This record gives sequence, C-alpha cells and structure tokens, in this order.
Amino acid sequence: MADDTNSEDKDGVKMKDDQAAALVVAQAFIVFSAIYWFTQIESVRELLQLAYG
Amino acid sequence: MNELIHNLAIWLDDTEWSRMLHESYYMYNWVESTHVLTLMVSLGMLFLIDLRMLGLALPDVPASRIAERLNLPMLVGFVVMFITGILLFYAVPVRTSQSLWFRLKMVLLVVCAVNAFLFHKRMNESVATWDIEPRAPSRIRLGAMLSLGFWSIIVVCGRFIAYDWFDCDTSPNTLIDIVSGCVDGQTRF
Amino acid sequence: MIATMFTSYPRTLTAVAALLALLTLAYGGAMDAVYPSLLTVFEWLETTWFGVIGKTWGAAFAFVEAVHLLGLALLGGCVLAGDGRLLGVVLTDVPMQTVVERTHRVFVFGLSICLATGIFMACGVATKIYYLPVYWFKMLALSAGMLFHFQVRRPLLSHDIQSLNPVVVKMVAVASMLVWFMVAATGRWIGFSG
Repeated sequence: MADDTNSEDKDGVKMKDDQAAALVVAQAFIVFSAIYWFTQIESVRELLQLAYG
Repeated sequence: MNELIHNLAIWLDDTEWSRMLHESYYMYNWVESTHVLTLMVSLGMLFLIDLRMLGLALPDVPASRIAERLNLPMLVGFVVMFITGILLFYAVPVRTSQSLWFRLKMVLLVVCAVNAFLFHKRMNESVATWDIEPRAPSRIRLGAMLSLGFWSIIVVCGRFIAYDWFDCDTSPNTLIDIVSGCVDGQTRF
Repeated sequence: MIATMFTSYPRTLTAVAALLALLTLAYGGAMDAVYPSLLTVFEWLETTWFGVIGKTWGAAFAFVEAVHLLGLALLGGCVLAGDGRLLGVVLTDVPMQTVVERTHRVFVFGLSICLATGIFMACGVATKIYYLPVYWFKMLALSAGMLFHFQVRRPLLSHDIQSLNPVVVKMVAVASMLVWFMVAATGRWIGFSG
C-alpha cells in the first residue's frame, strides 16, 4: 500500500517535470520561430524595397 | 501535337508574368519551396493511408476512418501542389514542356488518378468486411503499393526536371528527343 | 532548495541547459571557436565513398535527393497527423494516445530515411555546405527537433494525455510543427544558396 502511494507520487513528480520541460521548450520554440520568421520576411521586404522602391 | 505544345509554351513564355516569375529570385524560389514542402501534407497523408492498408501504420485504427479523415488534408495539399506546379510550369514553359521527366510525371499523375479512383471504388465496396483488420485484402493492398510506387517515381521525376541531362539541345539521342517532344531549332528556355 | 529542484525537475533543467547551449552555438560565438577545425572533416567527407559517388555521379545524387524528399513527406505526414490530433484538427474520433504512438513508429522510419540520405548528400557537397550559414542553421534546427521529439514530446505524451494540461499539449503540438517546418524550409533553402 505504502509502495503504491510512493510510486504514484513518483509518477506525479515525473509528470510535473515532463510538463514543465515541455512548456519551457515549446514556449522557446514558438517565440524563437515568431522572431526568426518575422526577421526573415522583414529583411526580404527591405531588400525588395531597396531594389524596386 | 508537339508543335502545338511548343507554340503554346512559346506564347506563355512571351507573357510578361511568366518572365517576371522566372526572373524573380524570391518569388520563384518561394513558389518552388511551397511546391516541395507541401509534399508533407499531400504525400504525407497519402503515405499514411497507403501504409495503413498494408498494415504498416496505425493497424489498430479502422482503415475507413484513416482514409476518410486524412482525405481532406491530403486534397488540400494536392490543390496547393497543383497551383504551385502550374506556376512553376508557367515560369519556365518551353523547357519544361520538352522535358522527358515532366512528360513522364504528367503521364504518371494520370495513372495515379485512375489508381486512386479504382482504389476508393474497391475500398468502398468491401470495407465493411475488413475495416478493423490490420491489413486490407490483397486487391486493396495492390492498389496501395501501386500508389506508393507511382508517387515515389513522380517525386523522382519531379526532382529530375531540374537537371539538364536530356534537354533538347544537349541530348543527341533520337528516341529521347521524340519522347521529349523536341521541336527543331528550339533553343530558348 | 536547489537540490530539490535538481531531483524533482531533472528534465526541465536539462532542457533549459540544452536550449541555452543551442542558442550559444547559433548566436553566442561558440560555433566560431570550432568552425575552422571542422573544415578538415568536411574535406575528408568528400573523399569518402559517399562523397566520391555524390560528386561524380550526378544521377545518383539526384535520386538520393528525391528519396530524401520521400522521407521528408513521410516524416511531415506523421508530424501533421500526430500534432494535428493533439490540436483536435484531424482524426478527432481516434484516441490521442493511439495516433501519437502509432505515428511515432512511422516518424522514426521517415527520419531514418532523411538522415541516411542526408548524410550521403552532405558528403557529395561537403565543401560547399561547409560555407553556407543556412546549412549550419538547419543542423541546429534538426538537432533541436530530434531532441525535442525524443526527449520532450515523447516522454510527455507517454503519460495519460487526458490528465495533462491541455494548453501544454497544444503548445507542444504547435512547437513540434514549427521546428520540423524550420528543418524542412532551411533544408530547401540550402539548394538555393551557394
């Protein structure tokens, strides 16, 4: 019984850790992608503006 | 027939938009990238459906459910590929219309369409009897294998269009010239 | 306090460290330190069997390029089906766990094709891609994608998905699609560069 509770606790802690890791990395990827693609599109736009006005 | 295609290609090539698209570094590459990356949507879904029929993907999900639910994203992918494909042809019509690989690709697209029609017809006729089986009956599996094979060759042909091994002005081989539909004196891209 | 953090959140702390390492490699100048010494490796790659075949036999290189695309289609299809299910867009009447678990197997197959053909192609044009920033960016994105898939997404989704925070699950799906799109798009751009 005590072992069962212990393993449930461990599973709960592991799930929290996995969720926290997923949240941190997913957030970082989403923010990075937004900045990266915005910068890429902006630089092409500026280049085209320089070329064609 | 080849003369007609050639004249049509020349007419397209002379339009201003064709020239603009061909000469635009970013626009042409953007259209080409969209064409290639949409493979993940169109062929990605198609491969999952075909592999399901062969029992190699999602074997514990009813086959009809996979085919029905992935059909819409697959078709959306194919529509995007079709539009970008037409634009790519429009940008370089003369060379593309006389490409051996492009012609082979077009023939195989028709073959794939016929295969897909027969595949769906056969599947709808009998799916109730084998829907939850991990592998579809042999006739359906044959259709799935043909689909995988033909589409793989189409991708190879599509990739080969970019190479000039058999271009009309470089290939001295008569048979290839005939299949490519080379018209005498054609030099421009 | 810190000791408790280490024992309770080992994956989170490792993930933060990996993110910082990737950012340092991409923008922090860490790459500059090792970059010159890698040239000899890339020169050697061109002398290997793969390199010689890729350089001298154009048809073989083109064929492998096409197989690379087929692997990409398979990989992308699995990502879209799996993450689309997590977002509630496709296969909504099939349990999430089933879709995620079954598409993972095909994903690994698609990724293996891409890696094998990618190594062949890299050998054939090694001294060209060495000088392309977009190639290095793709390698970083690929590393990030693989680490994310095997070390973050998969461990998370091995739990009962219904008991996970739905916002986190959806964010993971979006991030997964974004990172593989980044890998594919930067990969395509290698062909337009140099």
